[in-house]
Amino acid sequence: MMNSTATFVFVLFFIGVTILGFVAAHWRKADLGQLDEWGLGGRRFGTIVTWFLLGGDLYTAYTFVAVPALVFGAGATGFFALPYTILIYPFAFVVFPKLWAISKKFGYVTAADFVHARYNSRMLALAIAVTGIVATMPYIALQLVGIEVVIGALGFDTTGFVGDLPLIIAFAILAAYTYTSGLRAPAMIAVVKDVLIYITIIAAMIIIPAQLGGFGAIFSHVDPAKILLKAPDASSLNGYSAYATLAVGSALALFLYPHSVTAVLSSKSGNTIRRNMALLPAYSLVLGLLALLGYMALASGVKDMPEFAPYFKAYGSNFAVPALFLHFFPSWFVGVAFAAIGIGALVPAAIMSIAAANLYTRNVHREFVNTKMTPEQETNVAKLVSLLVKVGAVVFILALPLTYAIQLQLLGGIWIIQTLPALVLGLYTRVLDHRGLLLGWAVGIATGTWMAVSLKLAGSIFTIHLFGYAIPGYAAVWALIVNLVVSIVVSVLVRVIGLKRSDDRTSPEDYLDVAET
Amino acid sequence: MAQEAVTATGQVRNKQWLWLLVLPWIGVVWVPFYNKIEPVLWGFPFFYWYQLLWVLISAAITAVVYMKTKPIHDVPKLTPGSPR
Repeated sequence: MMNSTATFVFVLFFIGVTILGFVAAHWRKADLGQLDEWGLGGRRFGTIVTWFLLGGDLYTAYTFVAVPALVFGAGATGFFALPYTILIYPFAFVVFPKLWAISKKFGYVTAADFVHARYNSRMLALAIAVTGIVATMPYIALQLVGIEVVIGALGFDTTGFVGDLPLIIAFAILAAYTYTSGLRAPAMIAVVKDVLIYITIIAAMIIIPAQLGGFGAIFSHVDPAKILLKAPDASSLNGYSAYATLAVGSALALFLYPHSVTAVLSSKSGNTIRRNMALLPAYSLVLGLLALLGYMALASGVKDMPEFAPYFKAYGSNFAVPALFLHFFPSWFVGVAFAAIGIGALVPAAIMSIAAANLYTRNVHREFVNTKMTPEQETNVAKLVSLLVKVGAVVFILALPLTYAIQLQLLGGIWIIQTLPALVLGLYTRVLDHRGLLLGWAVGIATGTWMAVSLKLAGSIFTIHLFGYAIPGYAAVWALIVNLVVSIVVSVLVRVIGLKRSDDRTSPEDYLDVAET
Repeated sequence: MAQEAVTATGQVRNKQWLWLLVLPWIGVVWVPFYNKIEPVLWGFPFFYWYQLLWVLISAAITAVVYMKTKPIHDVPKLTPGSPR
């Protein structure tokens, strides 16, 4: 049965943001034939727009569905999303204004552009670009899962071709306005998305705990074995090292994703970025509260309610939050909350497709296909690729089992962190050689993939044994350590043998982070 | 906004303040600090409210570091005809 009031509100919001998406083309009007303008919004977004854009970008629909689902299923371990978002901002505060400064100076549109100039190695740049594109694709596909769950929760059958239609329509519209407006579209829509998210989470925090008898009562429903992390014992560090490495690894990886870099580079100054790092924790607070919705779903017993049984069967724990909203909110507000999740999928999906398109255009097409592109040709290639990326994501979700997307997303996190030595260390020092970095990257990717495969792609916690003591940890972190060791050893060898080093097309003063004008 | 100026070198001043940003990393990476139930606050086990509190503390720390390391506005950029 269809929930008509909720569907009406949901569709209303969807139409609203669609109009906004097309109107965005005229916002701060400029020549959208330039890649800077289409793909980076002209690098002119101020503090407030950047806050919404980054918030809309980093806290995706999938986050809103998957984090509570993880807490719902796994307990305290799932809460790692909170320390993860605490660690991101101090790190990004220091590192990313530097990337902004040098990118502004030389007109870099992607992180790989910078790596190319810094090491004068187009193969290393290609490695960075391809890693970014490959890690982003499943991430876009997962955004569709967020939309699919809420469309299903509204009472639509999401199986078969007719069931897939709403999803296809939503992505077709998204593709159309991203094509015409570029980054301006998600930047504008992000404002709506974030306002809806804040309203939803505040309402949830006021309404639901009161009905469940307060937080004390909510936590009392949690399995005592899951409410805390498993403490270390004589043979293993157990939950401690897993939790800490998950938080650290995820935090280091987040700003390496192309969609984060795109949002960072679109701001108007290094100071805008820094100011945002102090303001973005507002979203972390929301995320922490959202994670607790997982426990509320446990305490409310939605899982055992017969009306939700078919949905839990179809969507698993991902249905925990929609079920909670359906149970506690009036119909019209269910529409608002679901619109928040649905639109929450569109914003990052748009930014991710733009970021992937920028990477392909700059670091693959211009380097290896057509070296003499005009700015207009560049932009046209990027626009087309952004369409292809979205079509690919839809086909992926419709044609393959959902688990593939989840597994690839898991691998994506392990892969993207392997770009850290070239990008982040590259912002500070040239001591590492590009051959070392390339080899380190390759070995890191191989190690991480091997670890994940040996876990049957079901999880990312790989246990290493040190002097007979077991240390479970996030595979991405272990692989990054291997990567760093290889990069350093090879760089030393290159120096010892006396191989010629590549040129650096940047100079130290380019990194000075000039304040806003 | 347009009148905010650039430092002579454009470099972040008071770099030592950046070290404060290590604190949130220590606070949440060292799990033994907080993997316990007691003390409970408003029904929240310590594990949960401690980490939520760190969101606020790290935001405050980042804000302080931002204020302290902002480029100095010592060289007002004078464009002819602009209001002083």
